[in-house]
Amino acid sequence: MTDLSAVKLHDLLGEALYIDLNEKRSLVGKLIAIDCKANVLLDEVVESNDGHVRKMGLVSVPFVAVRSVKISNDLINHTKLMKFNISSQYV
Amino acid sequence: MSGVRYTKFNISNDVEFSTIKKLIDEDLSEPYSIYVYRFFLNQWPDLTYLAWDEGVDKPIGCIVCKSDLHNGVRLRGYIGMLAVEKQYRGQGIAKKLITLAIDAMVEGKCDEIMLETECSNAAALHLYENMAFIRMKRLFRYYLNQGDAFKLILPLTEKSCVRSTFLSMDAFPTNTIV
Amino acid sequence: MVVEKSIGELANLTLDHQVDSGNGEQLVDITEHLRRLTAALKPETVVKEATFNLFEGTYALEVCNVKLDTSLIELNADELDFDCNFPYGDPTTGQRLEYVTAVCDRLCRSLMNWLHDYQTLPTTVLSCRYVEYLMELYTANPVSSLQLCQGLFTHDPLYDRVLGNFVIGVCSFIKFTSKVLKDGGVYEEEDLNCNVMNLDMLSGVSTEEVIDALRSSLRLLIESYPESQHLQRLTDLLIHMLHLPKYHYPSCQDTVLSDLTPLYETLDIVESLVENGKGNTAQYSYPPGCFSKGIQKRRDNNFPPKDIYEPKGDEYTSLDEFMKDIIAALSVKECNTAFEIRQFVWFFNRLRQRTVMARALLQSYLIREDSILGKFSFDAFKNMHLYEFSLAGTTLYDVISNKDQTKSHESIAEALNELSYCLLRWYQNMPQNACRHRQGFNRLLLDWDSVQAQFEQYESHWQSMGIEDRITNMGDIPLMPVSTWIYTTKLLMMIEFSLEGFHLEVYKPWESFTQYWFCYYLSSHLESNLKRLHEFLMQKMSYISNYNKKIKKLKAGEKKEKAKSHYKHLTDVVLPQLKINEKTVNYYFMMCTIVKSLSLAQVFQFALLKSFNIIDARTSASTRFSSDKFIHDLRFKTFSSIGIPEVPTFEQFQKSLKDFLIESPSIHSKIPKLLSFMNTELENAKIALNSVIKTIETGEAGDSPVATGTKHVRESALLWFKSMLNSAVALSVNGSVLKTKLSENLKLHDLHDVYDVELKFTPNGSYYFPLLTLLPKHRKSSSQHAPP
Repeated sequence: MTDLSAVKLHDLLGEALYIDLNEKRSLVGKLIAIDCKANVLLDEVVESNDGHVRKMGLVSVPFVAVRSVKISNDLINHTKLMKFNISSQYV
Repeated sequence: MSGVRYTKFNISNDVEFSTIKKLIDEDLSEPYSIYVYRFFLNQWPDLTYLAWDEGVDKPIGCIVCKSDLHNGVRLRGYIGMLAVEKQYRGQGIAKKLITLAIDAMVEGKCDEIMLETECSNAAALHLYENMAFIRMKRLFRYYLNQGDAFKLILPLTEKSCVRSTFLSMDAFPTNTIV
Repeated sequence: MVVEKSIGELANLTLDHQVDSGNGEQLVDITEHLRRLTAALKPETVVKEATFNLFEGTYALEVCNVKLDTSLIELNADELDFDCNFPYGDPTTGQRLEYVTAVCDRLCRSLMNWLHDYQTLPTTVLSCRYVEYLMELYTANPVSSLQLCQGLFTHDPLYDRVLGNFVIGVCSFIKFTSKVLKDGGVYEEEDLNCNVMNLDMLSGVSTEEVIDALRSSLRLLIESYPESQHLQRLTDLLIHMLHLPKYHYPSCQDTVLSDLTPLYETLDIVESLVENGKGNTAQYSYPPGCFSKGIQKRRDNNFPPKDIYEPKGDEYTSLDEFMKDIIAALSVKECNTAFEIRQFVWFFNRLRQRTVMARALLQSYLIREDSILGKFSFDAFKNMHLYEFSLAGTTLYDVISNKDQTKSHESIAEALNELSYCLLRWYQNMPQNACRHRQGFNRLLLDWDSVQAQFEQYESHWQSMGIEDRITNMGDIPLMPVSTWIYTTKLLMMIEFSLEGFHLEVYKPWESFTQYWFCYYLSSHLESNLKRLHEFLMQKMSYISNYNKKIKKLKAGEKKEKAKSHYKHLTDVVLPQLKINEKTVNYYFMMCTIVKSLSLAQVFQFALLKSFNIIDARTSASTRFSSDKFIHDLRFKTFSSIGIPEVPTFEQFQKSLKDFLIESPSIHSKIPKLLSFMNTELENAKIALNSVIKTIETGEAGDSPVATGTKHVRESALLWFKSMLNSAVALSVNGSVLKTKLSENLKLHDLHDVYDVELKFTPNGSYYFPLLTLLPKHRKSSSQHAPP
């Protein structure tokens, strides 16, 4: 299990979220906003639907429609590293 | 109807948020995403009112508004959405909701209140015009369903009646020492 | 764009991730983590990028929301299996010809649904699978010649050549239209929606090559398909429509065409299509699944799903109107004077909103990069306007037309050129859709009001330099020709703005008194302004005719010769222009009479209803939140900055209304007198209207006392004035109808609870003068539900 404790909501803003809606349909887009119900607003969305890929622009994704949300492992590592560096400066 | 009571929207109550969405989605042809509701309800929760019937645990009507600076010179209230469940119509609930919202916007020092409505929506025009709104302009093919709209305004202060250009000229008092 | 590129890579990533779960290790599931983090947020919080305004979020699509998710569109088996490279139809029964004809017929109709009925491309032309297929091929490989384009591959020339070329022709027309739209002049979305869904509409292929391809299709049809008359007509139609780019100035600049013959030929083809459609009620059928919402689901798309717009059957009639409007628009080239051009543009888009292509083409054809019609520079055009109205025969004109360039000449010319911009703005406003047209005056009035103030100063200054013309019979007041023209234009715009409110149904009946009284007031000011100018013109003309006597008194010599040549100039050049200008001024006098009389008739009728307490010039609504004065001032906001003429206050309007009322005792017996005043006014309007109509009908005969300048927009102008005439008659009749209704019970003096008032347009009447109509008051009906 990856340790996600360093990853806060603000770290995800502007980053790519990979969202699976069902086994056939997934979205990638830049996180613009997220509310208290984890409904997300993505921009520059690219949809992959049964192998067909297209752009959809600015898209709201209700959390109830989401099967899974993923981010790249690199982003997690990067965030951890950055936070570690910042905190170590103050030690 | 005496049984109907009115409350200010409580953003912590999930049922209220989801019922507003349901009431509006069922009623309006324009499609709204969750973020349309977030735009209004999260930023101006105080300008949304609900109507409740006795013994019913969900709101049966709602009005959703906002207010912000228009052209940088006057505070403009805006009625974004209004809906009352079908079986409760014709009882003055919509009118009461509008009154509550306008009162709140007056309280908030709005200079005017604006809204758009389809030219073909005689009932809405009748309702608002009976509250002294006037049609300021017609908007060509405004709605997704291709109909024209009227922009209605209710002036609350003198500022509403002066062109923005001239209000902004007065924005800096001439005797201010810079 | 960096962002686009990275997003493209991301797309690949997802695909990889989908296809190959081995890559899953790159991604980490944070679903539960997100749920926990967001659950800790306060309900009113939205975590967002600092620069992002939630308002932009209101335009977002939403997945899994049927109203906002095009991926949820369901397609049937025919749509899913549709194959553009399969020759649908039984080859032995002529079904293939029927199919291809049907697709082409629908494409033509779809073009009209899009262009004339204001529908979107994805729900019309782009819903055709062949359009989507061929343009996707082109977009993937945007070559510069049709020869290199991949086409349909069914092995049936009806599909591969005829239909293929037809689709190319339609798309080439779309390309042209988006160019027209980009060139400006009309409003994207509301006037014209040019969403091509990121398809490249043949950017590299010339229209000529497309026309050639269609011509070869036509030859093939004639030679090999004797039964294909309808398809031949459609192909020929498309060939002709593709001539339109030649009339679009920005597309072809100096080679812009002025010969309208190809357009007239189009009308013949359209007529045969309309005729053919009449007897032919049987609907052609097309290959199943050929028109589909699928493109909305397949292509890049940030719009909500929309149903396909099914042709209604009147498309060829629309096409007829479409072409006629375009021909009418381009007829502006016949205009030679500023007054003619002004009148053309004023009448062209009146009465009926012209098809958007015609409105756009008129602007681009008339107002070119650096000239009007390729004939007049903008500054020259503005000078023509002045000269043809108030500048001819003035000292100011002598100064600016003086060949010896002096310093004052230069500074005056420079000052005058500031007007060119205002004038162009006026011209750009006229072809707008009716709503924008009225709104446009808001801005225009600010501009014109400020140049008026500016020029009154300039002209006073010029007077001090000795550049002045005074009107002897009016106590030597100065003419100020430029300010006179500006003021006239401004007043006409103010009247137009007010009356257009009736056209657009912006006013409630209770507002009609104020608006009509205001129009009467503005027309009176205009009349006074024109009277000054008219007096000057008469003075100048009489000066010229007396000039000869002065010469006779002079002794022979150089001075006399000089005077003689000056006299010749005056009689040959100045006098004819002054005569024309006098007729133009007379025309505007008549406009004043017409607006004044019709407005006054409305005022009388309003006063009559007010006398019986049926209506009042203030809202009957609750003013708990507002006040009568605020509401009035808001209505007059557009004019709030206007200094001249002074705009009456709410109280002044209320007071004016009182002067028109009749009162008890014997209120009923006072009605006839009020109506007789009204009818006298209406007779004045009718006389003026008949005079204008006669002048237009007789082709601006030389002996007519007015010049209408409408030779090249004759039909529209005639219809306009006839609608005014019909309104004058209708107003008179309405007066009698009101009297009858008010007199039903002579004992009743307060009919407040008996009647409601409505503004009703009269058939064939002017939409500036809807009738105050009485309706029996409804029993208190339960107020209906009403969303905004």
